[in-house]
Amino acid sequence: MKPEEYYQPNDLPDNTTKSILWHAIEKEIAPHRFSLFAINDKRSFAYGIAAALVLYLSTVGAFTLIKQLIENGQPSVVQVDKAYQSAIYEFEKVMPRVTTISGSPQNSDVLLARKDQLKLLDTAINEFKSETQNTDLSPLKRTKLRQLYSLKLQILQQMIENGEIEL
Amino acid sequence: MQEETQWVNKARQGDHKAFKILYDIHIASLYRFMRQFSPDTHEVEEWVQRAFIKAFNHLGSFDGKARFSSWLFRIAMNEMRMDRRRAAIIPFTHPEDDEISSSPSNEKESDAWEWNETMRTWMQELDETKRMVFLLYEVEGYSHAEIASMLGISESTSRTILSRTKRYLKTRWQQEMTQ
Repeated sequence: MKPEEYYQPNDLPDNTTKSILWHAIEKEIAPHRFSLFAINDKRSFAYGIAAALVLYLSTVGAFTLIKQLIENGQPSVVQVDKAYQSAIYEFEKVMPRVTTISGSPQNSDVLLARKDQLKLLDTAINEFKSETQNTDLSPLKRTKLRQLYSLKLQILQQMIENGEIEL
Repeated sequence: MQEETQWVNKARQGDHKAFKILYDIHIASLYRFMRQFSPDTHEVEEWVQRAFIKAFNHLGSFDGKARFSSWLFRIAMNEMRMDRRRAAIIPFTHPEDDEISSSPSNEKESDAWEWNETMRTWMQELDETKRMVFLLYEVEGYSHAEIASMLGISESTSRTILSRTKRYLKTRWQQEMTQ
């Protein structure tokens, strides 16, 4: 059977229909121009930035909160140790190091002895610090560590008072 | 055919003019075919439009072994079936489940069988798969292999459907003649 025998004239699309259909098809298959600031893209971009910011702030907030909770939950001995550590650190920061001080020849032996003393103290403190974690509540170790800090501070005080360190 | 392959290749590279040529070649045949499955022209236009858009977007998957028209028809029929499934208007019957009455046939009867306008009305009584097979084979001139590929059925099923559909039409035609 030939198609003309089966189909009727009104089965065929007229030219207007063909044209309308093609325009609709062409509109759909046209390549979408890439625009960095297209409305949809811009919105997505803004949402992405906002989400990243919220995530960052949440993470920082959570981290700070957890850190505070942990620190607040630490026993007082640990907090005292931390205060010592912090005091020594800040003190050493503002004080010239012994090695950089130019002493008079007669004081050089004393300075060397002080230097050795401080070196030994630093070594001992570092060893204790590495052994003594925040969670380690051994009272003996804590006491020993505090004594070493105290000794160091005393030596530094003596050096300042004797003029061995020029401020 | 070779010329059509050239247009297809060009369209595959994004050439809209080449695709417009393919559109001009096939729009009438596709439209009139799809028109047989809905009295609503808007619905038909929707299927045709979607078929061409999908064809353009998926030209990369067209291997060129089949005719472009058969591939296009398959897309359009899939679009229609998808709509039908969504709306659940007409359930598709399996060819083996149908109950087309059989009647004795021979070559003479076959020769005597003539197409007439009333048969268009009878065609509307058939389910869509039978209508598709009949139209694709008898009217559009596709082979059973092509129809099988288009409808996702086997060649033998396509033959069976066509045979039963023709028997059904003959029976109706004979009944009409005896009245």
